[in-house]
Amino acid sequence: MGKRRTGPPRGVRPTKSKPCVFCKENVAYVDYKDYNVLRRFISDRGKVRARRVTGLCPQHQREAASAIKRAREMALLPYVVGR
Amino acid sequence: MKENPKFPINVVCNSSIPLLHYRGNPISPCFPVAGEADTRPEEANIDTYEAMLIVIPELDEEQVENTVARFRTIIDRTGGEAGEPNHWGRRKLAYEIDHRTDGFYVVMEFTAGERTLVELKRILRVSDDVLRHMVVKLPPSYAHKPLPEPAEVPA
Repeated sequence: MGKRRTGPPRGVRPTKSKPCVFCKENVAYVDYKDYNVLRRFISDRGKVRARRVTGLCPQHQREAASAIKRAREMALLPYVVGR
Repeated sequence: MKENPKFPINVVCNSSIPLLHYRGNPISPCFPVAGEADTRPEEANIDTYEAMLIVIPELDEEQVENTVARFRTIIDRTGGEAGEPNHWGRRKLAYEIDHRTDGFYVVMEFTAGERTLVELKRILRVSDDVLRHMVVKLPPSYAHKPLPEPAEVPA
């Protein structure tokens, strides 16, 4: 029915599935006080990194993002770096 | 919102509406309530909160402790129970707040009575010694765990 499929588009790498770091360590709650852990999920400009970069699962990406926002509010992490 | 005969308990797990009440607190059948008593001190259904304060750097250690003690008495007086404060010490802020570049960080856990949260937040907002504050409800499984690192940048 309809279009003919011609396989995967060119330039797409086969994905290696890598478990999310929080899942691997069985983290139930991403704590905003662990700003050193959260540092790994922000860019050097201070922005929240995308899931394709962080490799987090959807749930933990969401929790990490809100933890980063809480940490920013308490001045543990910067809103902007190098202004 | 007590037991409703038209609304059987064993369905609707994606609803955020609490389906029954336990000791005055709404619980949903989706959340396991029993079995968590071992992580809690006494009753199984009391929420634990955590407050983080940034106290202004002009004070000295003793004055910071007095300030924190004031908030602890507020928690105790309003029917909560304040835990031991965890002093992170003087730390550099990630950005300037009110022309200050550092502050004393204090973290403490507490349980809240009926008026605790309202009263605590009101007083935190008006007190001049506190630059920033945050009150967070801890998930039941996380409460009373050893808290992470103290001061790392002794500015």
